[in-house]
Amino acid sequence: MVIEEILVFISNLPLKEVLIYLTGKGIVDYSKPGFEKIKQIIIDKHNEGKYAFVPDKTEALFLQQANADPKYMQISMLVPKYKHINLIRTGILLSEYNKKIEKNEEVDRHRNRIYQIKREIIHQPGGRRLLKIAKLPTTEFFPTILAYLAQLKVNGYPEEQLEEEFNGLVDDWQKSSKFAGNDDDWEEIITFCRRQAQDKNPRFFILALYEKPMRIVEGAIAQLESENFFEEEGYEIKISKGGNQGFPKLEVSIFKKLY
Amino acid sequence: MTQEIIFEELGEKERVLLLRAFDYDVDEEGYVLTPSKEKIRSKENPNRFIEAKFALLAPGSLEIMDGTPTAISEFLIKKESPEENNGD
Repeated sequence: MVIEEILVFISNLPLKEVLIYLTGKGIVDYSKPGFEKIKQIIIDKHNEGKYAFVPDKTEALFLQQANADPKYMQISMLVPKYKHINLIRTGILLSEYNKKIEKNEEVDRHRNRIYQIKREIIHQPGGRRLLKIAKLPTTEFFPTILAYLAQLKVNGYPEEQLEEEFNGLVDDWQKSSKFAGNDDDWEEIITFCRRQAQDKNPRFFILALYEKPMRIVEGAIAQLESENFFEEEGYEIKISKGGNQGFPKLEVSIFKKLY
Repeated sequence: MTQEIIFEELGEKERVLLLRAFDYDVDEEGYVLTPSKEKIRSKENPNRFIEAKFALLAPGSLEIMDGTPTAISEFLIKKESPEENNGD
């Protein structure tokens, strides 16, 4: 095929097909006479700005669509200028892979990919903290943290302070959170709350999944309220029930009100 | 309205051919070389260089970036931001 025929053939093809066609013809560079016209067609097609070439198309597409994920939308709204919002988006991808593992879908492949992604993050400067941010969307507490930030916004917190709070939570959400399990009793929940108040923690959270732990948490909170604990310690409390019929959950945010 | 980016994968030979159209190249170890034949340092991990098979070859005037989920997310966020899209 002469150059002119190649040019006519590739001129209406999408860039990827052009590249596949040319390499299939044994073209590996543009050194031969006349190939500069082929080169220019490739440059022009790439400059149209339609295509991004990536190592994994499915993963890139998921990341593209993650901007419509409710949790991502919420955090983008609450802290729109957050420097590491890309890590939250990556965390939503990690969360998706975790869900696939739970469903027994290509468990080894997804585990390996999670490991690779985390390793790539940890090797960045400040990687340990960056990894904490990326892991946040994979935790059960992420919606609780979002609900808490949303409450602060309702209470009039400015954007900068929400971001400061979010940064603080990235670092210490684990010590500020209590996951109430089936084996927990009232006393443990009450002790947790008292300890947080003693440590002067400005906010802490309790999460309960399923009926029994939910009842225990509600009972403990009712007990503390009857003792005026929250009021005396200057805390505001927000309780929300959510989840669905097979997966009910109770989120409790306890925080000092500034405004 | 901003044009949505279409993501595609490319085989090794096709990636090299695209890079060579913009006077980049790939060395024997698979690292991308600039037109001045220098390896490109990863923005995310300055101790590493960008390998062609793991790179994001961004649209428009060819831009070579890390192809990790964090870098792809950052690229997407910039594309979606109103500042980036001003004048489109």
